[in-house]
Amino acid sequence: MKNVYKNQIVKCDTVEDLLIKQSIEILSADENSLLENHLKTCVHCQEYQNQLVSIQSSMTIDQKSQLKPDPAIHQLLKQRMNAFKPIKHRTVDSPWQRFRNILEYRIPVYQGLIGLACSILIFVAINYFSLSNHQQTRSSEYSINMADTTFYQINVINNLQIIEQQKIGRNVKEDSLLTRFIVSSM
Amino acid sequence: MELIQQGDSAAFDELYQRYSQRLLYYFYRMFGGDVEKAQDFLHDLFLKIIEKPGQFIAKHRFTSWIFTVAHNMCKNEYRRLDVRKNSEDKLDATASKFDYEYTRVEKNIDQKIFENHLLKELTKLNPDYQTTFLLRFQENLTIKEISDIMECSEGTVKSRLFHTTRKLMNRLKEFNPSRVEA
Repeated sequence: MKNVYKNQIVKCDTVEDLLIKQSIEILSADENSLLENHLKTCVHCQEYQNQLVSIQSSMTIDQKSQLKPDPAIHQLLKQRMNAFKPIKHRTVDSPWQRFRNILEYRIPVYQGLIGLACSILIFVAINYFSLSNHQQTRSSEYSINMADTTFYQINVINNLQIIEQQKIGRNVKEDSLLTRFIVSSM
Repeated sequence: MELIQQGDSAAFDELYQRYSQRLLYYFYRMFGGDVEKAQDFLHDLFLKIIEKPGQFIAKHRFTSWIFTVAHNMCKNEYRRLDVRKNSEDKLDATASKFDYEYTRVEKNIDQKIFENHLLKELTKLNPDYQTTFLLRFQENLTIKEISDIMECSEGTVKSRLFHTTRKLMNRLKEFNPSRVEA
């Protein structure tokens, strides 16, 4: 199909190319006027233009469309987002700032202090009582007199008699050796 | 994006609301109308944003960056699978579904059939050409922005758009809804 414009024969192929070009970039004034004049008379190119518009408009997103992102995806991503919270960068504070930061967490600090005081008290108490018991035993060891010694010996002999009766050794020889050892160790 | 890097979930919600629909359409069209795959890719893309927010460089426009990531994901998928073969079968199935759903309103049928054929023809093209076309006419991005995303010159973008449009026009002559209406 041909059309005459400014003593030029304009082919429909050229106009089709111009129509496509128009959708991509801005045409020059000459090209625009050529297009307008051709489209006024050429039905074929008018149809071509309509088709071009319909192709390009089909590409736009229809807000009423049924194609929507799955809400489950959003939920999953939110969960992931919470799990992936980045660690804040640690900065070195001044001692005073650090102390103030500690004070901000009052309850754990008080609990810690109470716990420390209790543990110190328990430690002191245990040490005090164990020391006094130890001293008592030592003093008692040194204050044993002879009377006590004979008392202990009698007791041992009595115990030996019991052992003898029960025959703790395998034979008489063993029993007598055992008895001698016990008596000598006293 | 900075807020997301700091773990602000409200900022993430805002970002999701703004881009999820657009990206879903992009994946849907790139994979020849495969909704499930489009949803999976949408999920994977936002997961990347959550897990590696540092990959975004502040000097770039966010839209350009997110579509670059989306385009790379599509290219990888195209490499991995022979998508075109499968998508043709899927499109036939969806076309018949659309025929059934829209029998009552003739105008809608024509439009839907046209859109399905358009999608089918678009899927037959090279992924770079598809993305260029979608970024221009779906996202209304400028030639400069598209050239940044595709990492090619503006001339290449224009050439790709021209050839893609021409191919589609030639292949869809019979399915022009405007001609049916007239």
